[in-house]
Amino acid sequence: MTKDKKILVTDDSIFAREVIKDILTRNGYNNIIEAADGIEAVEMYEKENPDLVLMDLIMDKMDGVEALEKIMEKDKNAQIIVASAVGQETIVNQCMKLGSKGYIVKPVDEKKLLIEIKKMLRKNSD
Amino acid sequence: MIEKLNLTNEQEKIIKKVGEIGAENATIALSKLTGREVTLKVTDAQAISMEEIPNIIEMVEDTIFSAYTPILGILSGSMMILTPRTSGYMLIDMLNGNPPNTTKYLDRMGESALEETQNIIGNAYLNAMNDFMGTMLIPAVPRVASIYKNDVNALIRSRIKTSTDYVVTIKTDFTIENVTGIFILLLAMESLDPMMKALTERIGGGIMKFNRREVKK
Repeated sequence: MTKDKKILVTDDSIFAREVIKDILTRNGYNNIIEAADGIEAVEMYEKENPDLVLMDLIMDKMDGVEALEKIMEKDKNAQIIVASAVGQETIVNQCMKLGSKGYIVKPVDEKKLLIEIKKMLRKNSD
Repeated sequence: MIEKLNLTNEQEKIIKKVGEIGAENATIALSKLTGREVTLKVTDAQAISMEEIPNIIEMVEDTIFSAYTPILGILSGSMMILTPRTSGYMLIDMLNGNPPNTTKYLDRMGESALEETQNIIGNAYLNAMNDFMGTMLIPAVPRVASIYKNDVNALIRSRIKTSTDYVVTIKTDFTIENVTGIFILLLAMESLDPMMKALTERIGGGIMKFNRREVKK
């Protein structure tokens, strides 16, 4: 069941994390863990081995690009979706080259987020 | 009378145009974030002395919330939303899906909601500027402060690195139902030349000649 999969939500904004968690739980995804910056995301990834990571790009301490790079170094099959703002296409392209499997644009569109997550988790369980 | 630096008509026109495109992008993004009808209107685009900024801000309450973000890239500047405290609380309730008048003080969740609003509006503006000028400006991580309206100047001075006392300002008023506030984009005067150079290169050069005029005191 894709809905049992563990999802790591990484964003330095507690508000943004709550918005995403709310969307996920309302849609039956209950195995959610959180990280408030890139450093925490890398640590959580090692410890929790989530099935999917949602990664914000602009964060203090360690940004999303560096965290993505570090996670991909440890697990080249990591499923990471980056969350960018409109206009950050160059950074998104850089993330895709580094191994990100998808991206969503903030403010998050519920439908698009769910489609992207389902697609990724399904691919992962194949 | 507001003490301002005389820009050429073309400079003023372009700065305003950047603001209008930014406002258009921000309207869509903010309406998506809040799920409500949003109005944004550019009400000021000029180069003024930093001392004059409180005069164009016109806040109705003494305490205001500010969410601000430095701009990273070839231009030096900062952007911020400023909202009267009451409006700030209403905006937080709106974003968190709470009934009106739930929020009574600014907690971490409220700060985060304001930071996200700044992120969304700021990114929409930077995106407009990047498209318009072919630049790669990105926002830094936003921060929130609760300040007295008389302290706006100090906040701005601490947020912008400039060797002159003048800044290019694009001020946009926003309304979301009963919530009112302003978004202000500030660029150090040193950024005017690279901005105009980027624009001139972008539109093929030769179309516009920009000359900095003397400061009118």
